[in-house]
Amino acid sequence: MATSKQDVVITGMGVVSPIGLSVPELRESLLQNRSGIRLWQSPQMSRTLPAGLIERDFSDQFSKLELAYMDRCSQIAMLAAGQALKDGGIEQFEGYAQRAGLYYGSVTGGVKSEHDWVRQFHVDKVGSSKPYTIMASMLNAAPALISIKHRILGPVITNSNACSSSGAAIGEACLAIREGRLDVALVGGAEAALIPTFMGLWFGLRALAEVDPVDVSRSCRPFSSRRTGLVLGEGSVFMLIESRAHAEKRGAACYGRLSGYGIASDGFHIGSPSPEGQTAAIRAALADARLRPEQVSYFNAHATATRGGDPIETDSIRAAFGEAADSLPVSSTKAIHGHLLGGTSAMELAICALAIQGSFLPATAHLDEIDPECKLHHIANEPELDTPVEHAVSLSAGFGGTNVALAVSKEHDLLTKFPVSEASTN
Amino acid sequence: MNQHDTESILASLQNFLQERFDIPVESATLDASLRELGLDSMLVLDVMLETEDRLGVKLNDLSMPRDATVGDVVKMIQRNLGA
Repeated sequence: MATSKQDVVITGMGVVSPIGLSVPELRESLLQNRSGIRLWQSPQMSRTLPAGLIERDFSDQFSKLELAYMDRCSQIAMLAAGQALKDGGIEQFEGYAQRAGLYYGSVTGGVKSEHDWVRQFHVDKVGSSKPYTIMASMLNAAPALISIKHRILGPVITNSNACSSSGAAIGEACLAIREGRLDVALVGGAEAALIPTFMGLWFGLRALAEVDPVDVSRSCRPFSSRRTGLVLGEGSVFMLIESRAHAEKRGAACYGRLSGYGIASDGFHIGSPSPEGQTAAIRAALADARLRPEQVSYFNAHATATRGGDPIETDSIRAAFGEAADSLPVSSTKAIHGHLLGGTSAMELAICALAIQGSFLPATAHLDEIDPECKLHHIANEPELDTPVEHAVSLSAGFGGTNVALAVSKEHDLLTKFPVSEASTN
Repeated sequence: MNQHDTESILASLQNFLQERFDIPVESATLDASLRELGLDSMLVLDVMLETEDRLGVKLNDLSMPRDATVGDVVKMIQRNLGA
């Protein structure tokens, strides 16, 4: 395919996740199919739950003056963003003025700070919060802090449409670069909501997986007939994206080209998906990337392992890909990292980029018994290595009905980037 | 020594700044700029609210000069105390 100066390429990535605190660690976990699903418990809930926990306190990475404004969500976002920018080779954007942007997705932002304050108000009878708690609680706290640190002076936009939040953010940034409004953008998402009140909200929906009685790390089983529900996770993923012209000018290597963006809404139900919206989003991404269905080498499914959601997505994939669906390699990596909510689209796009860069097909772990209602060409249990991936597509479907599909393609003209272990949060 | 004299108020401020924000006691001198210590207006407000709690007083007049120093905070507290 002919290249364009306005093609959008991924030149930096950063990850703080249950399966890796850096891009190389994430890559290694995918290759080893190493699960980050761990036991979550709280004295405030009688029930234990599986969760994509990051067993690490990051407050030692910041001064107390900084921490006043930083929920855990902002901490992991700041760290992942810092990795992506270091990896991409641009850490200060002042010289770009309004031609550098930050597009971010999250569902709950500084929810722990907010809920801690609510408890102080109702239980401790404290009448007024700390002056900075309102800032720490904001949905856009993380991108605000990142933009201040790295002097990103163009659009700094927070997008929240449930599980496709960071997907839409990334897609819209891609359009802004393609249309020539921006040279470069930091894009991604973050979520750190594994707190009792939020877990209780999800538990109320009866959608959460049970703890696997033998091995908690096997509790999330997308597409399996033995799936029991979704597993919430925490984490943040950011990418530096820029126009091909800009990357060429500065001699930057890239992980791949962000080749397609499709967004479509169900207009159906606030909490139940419908295949039409998902199918439309996938078709739109393929059309945007000028791809025929049979050209796609890998599909990273949203598949959260709920009883109702996985078969609907199966139908959507089949409708969008037609006959090509029978041979389309599909997996849901949520089996090992859980559902990062606002961060999940960014996480799964990064995984697609790594699949392209490393020529492998990530697997759906714990998929011994495929649900007959989820019949697809599954990459089950073990990743397929030494398999060239030319084009990969990732789908995210959010509560509220907003569906986002993103396509990433191998880049043949710019230098290929390999993850280096230098940029890590350890 | 009464608890509202300059030295006592300064010591209380220094202790709080150390506890809450890791600002070394030796940095928080009377002529140290709040801005240079890393304290923006919201963090300064936190200091005021904590001071009210610690000294058991109500600070009604929070006005301070631009680029205030730790000494200006002490003076503001004393002004409110009518010292």
